[in-house]
Amino acid sequence: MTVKLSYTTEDFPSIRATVYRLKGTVDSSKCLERFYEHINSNTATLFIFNLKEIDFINSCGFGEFLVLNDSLQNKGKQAVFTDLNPKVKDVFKVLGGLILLKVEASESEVLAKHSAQVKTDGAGRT
Amino acid sequence: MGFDERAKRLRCKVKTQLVEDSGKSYYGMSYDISKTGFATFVRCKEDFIVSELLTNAFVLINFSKLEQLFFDRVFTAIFNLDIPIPPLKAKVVRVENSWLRGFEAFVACKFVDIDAKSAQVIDEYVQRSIPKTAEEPVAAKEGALMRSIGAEGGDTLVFQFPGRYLYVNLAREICAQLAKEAGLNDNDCFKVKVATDEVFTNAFKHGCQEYGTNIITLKVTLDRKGIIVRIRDEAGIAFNYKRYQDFDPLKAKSSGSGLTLVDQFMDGWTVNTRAGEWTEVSFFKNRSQEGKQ
Repeated sequence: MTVKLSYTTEDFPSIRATVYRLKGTVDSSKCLERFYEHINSNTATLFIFNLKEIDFINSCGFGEFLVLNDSLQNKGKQAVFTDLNPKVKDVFKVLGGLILLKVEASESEVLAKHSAQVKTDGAGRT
Repeated sequence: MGFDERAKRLRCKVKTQLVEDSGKSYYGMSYDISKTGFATFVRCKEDFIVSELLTNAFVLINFSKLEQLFFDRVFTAIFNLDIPIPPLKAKVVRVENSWLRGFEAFVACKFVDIDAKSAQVIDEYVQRSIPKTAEEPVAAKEGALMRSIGAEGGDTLVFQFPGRYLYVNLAREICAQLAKEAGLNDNDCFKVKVATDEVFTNAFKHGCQEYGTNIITLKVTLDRKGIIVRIRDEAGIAFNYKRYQDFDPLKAKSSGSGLTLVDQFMDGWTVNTRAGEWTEVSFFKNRSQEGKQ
């Protein structure tokens, strides 16, 4: 089996967020392995995973998202999954992804909310 | 080399530890234990495997290195069982790469010079733990419309794969394409693809008995209503389909969610088993009223 998953990233340092735009297949338990090195060295506190271009996901791949989410939470960071296409959403629905993970409609919405939150937090400091 | 007495095997999750003479350990989970040996997935984080996987290598690349890692050695096998057996000596008889949980090697081992008492203890444990198998078909998805498997007037294609996880990608692509030919819409073709993936994965994971000589058979029937897929392994280990129909994600264990996807995505599914010989999981999907999208 080949690992058919690629990704691009975009950093938003002012709000300490990084967007990972995934493309391809999430079907094996270590398909996200390559992310961990990047994530471990990333000082962002918010990690947005845009799943718009995921064309296949199975229970094994979904499980890896749960592991990824737990890993980030254990480090005091947050993972948000966005732009789920209908197929991925169906899998998430059945396996409880909409309950177990933070899922939002779009990365732009999440970035806007987070940016507003950061500004509010910053304004509150003396 | 294979295991004897195929029916007398324990199918359960048992923590396994393989210890080299140097003290290095490989940890894994076993799904099959008999009085002559066992099979397990062990974590294997050798750098050469990591780098090859990251460069999209096929499973067989570096197989020889993986073999060198395990073959021609006798390990001490330690099981997390609640029965009193001392650590046992085991020799690896088969090795395969596994993509199921990342950098895992699937190893099948035969016990070396197992003493009679340990063999007896394991055998008794296996006998107590074997679920009662049912040879009659098990109905699934009560209340749903369930056609009898073996549709009339349809075309059936048969594919046989060596029992290797390598072929799950091909099997699911075949079924997705045939679902399209059967007139299913794009979303339903995707669901057939997922269901095939999950069942085929299980056939490899739980149904490969001889670990190398086994075959996974895929039969796809296209008829007037839609598509029927049947996947058969050669282990003949029964399982209770009902536990996958009441899936609670908050109580989910790491395994089992695949068949929940089958249950929810398909219009019906069944499990047939002949103990010690084969297990066949069948599922079907009808064309939607709207037809193709």
